[in-house]
Amino acid sequence: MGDCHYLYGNYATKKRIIFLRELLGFMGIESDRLRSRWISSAEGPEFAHEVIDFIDSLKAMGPSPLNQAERALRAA
Amino acid sequence: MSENVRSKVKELLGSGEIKGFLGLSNKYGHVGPHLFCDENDLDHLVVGDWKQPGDTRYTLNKQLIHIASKYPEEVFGVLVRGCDERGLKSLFTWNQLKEDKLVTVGVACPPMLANYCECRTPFPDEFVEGEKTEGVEGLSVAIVDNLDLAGRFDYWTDVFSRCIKCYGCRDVCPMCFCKECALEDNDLVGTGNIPPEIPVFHVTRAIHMVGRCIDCGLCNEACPADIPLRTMYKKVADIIDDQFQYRPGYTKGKSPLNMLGVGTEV
Amino acid sequence: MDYKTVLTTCTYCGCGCGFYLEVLDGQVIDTIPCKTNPVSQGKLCIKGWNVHEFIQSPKRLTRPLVRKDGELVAVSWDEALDYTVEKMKGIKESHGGDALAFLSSARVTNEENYLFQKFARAAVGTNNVDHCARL
Repeated sequence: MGDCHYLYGNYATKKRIIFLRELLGFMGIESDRLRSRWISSAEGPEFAHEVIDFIDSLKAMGPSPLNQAERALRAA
Repeated sequence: MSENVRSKVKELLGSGEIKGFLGLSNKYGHVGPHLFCDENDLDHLVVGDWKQPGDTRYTLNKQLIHIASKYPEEVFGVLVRGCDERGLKSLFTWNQLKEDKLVTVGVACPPMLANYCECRTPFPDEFVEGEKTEGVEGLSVAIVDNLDLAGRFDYWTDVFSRCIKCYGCRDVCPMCFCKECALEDNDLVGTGNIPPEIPVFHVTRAIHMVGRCIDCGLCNEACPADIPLRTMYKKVADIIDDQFQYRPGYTKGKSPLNMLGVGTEV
Repeated sequence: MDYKTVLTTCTYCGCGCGFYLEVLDGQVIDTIPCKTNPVSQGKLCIKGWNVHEFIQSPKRLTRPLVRKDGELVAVSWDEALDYTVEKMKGIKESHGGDALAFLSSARVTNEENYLFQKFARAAVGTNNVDHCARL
């Protein structure tokens, strides 16, 4: 933290993510569909590992309810 | 019921302390916003009768911003309820209005309005009309919270599918003063669909209400589709209060998500 | 300083929603829906919310235009009215009132639209009158 290219950008982002996860939960969307991690551009392998892990957890959660709702709405 | 307000306004206009008083007038058979500049022409000044809650609630703060930005050196008076005053405190922090150029004349809301609004503080700091009523801890947020995840999803998808993207919620909001609105940006909120892609429009607006919404409820009343916007924004305020101990209109200072002129404090 | 709130009716469609126009020093700056209007009850559609914008829009025509040699040319009111009357009378006499059609706009007052259709129907004798909002 504090090591952001934009100086204090990641402090603001951290707060936003905290807030957004709660709001998504209130809206009925699993908050785990939103993830944030701080990874430097020099940490290539860590980034790849994180993405693969996230994809796996998303697959386990199943398709997003938002897609299904959108499709149902536009078809009507 | 409006006698006390009328005499206070007469006194303020008569002494020249204020150039005009932005309040409510009974004209054309309706009660609506009006700027009173003549101390002898106050017969039509009313505080609003509560035939139905919401009948006489208007965005006086917004009109005040229009007038004050053209006449920044003049002092104006304004009618305030609890919510209006929260709005003013917030607008002072955002530099949209100047505290020393305003005189407020307060009105306390009766229990019927406090219950309708589920208002925590249905009265301003000082008021000349009405009696202090207990704040109300409402049920509207709890009702949605108590549904399970799928129940909440169905609830919000259902209400958002009625949205006609009239932008009424944004246009009426006394705290919305951005010259360029994110909701009008094609890249953020896609165009061409009614209702706008769920939940993009409403979640975007909810995020922008962080540290800004003072829970006046005018958005709810302006929505032609009766979407329970206020419930969502109440939840937003609760989340920010829980996580960052900040409530707009109550807590001093800028929003915890504000980034302008900020150092590296968390 | 002159600040007014004027209660009026929307010109766009047949619903007739009511709102106050906010006028500051002769400029219409904003629209405030009327909470107690029986039709609109404090709500407006997106057109109603922005009705104040067209009133003093720089895109409005400020002078009558007549087509001369394929080009629209600004002329005086006298010339425009003389031209219109002469042509309309001529067409009505040779082809009848139904050979004329009248197209109005949602961006004029309701009262002007009333006059317009009255003129078309009673004065010229045709019901070929329409409006950009087709209402």
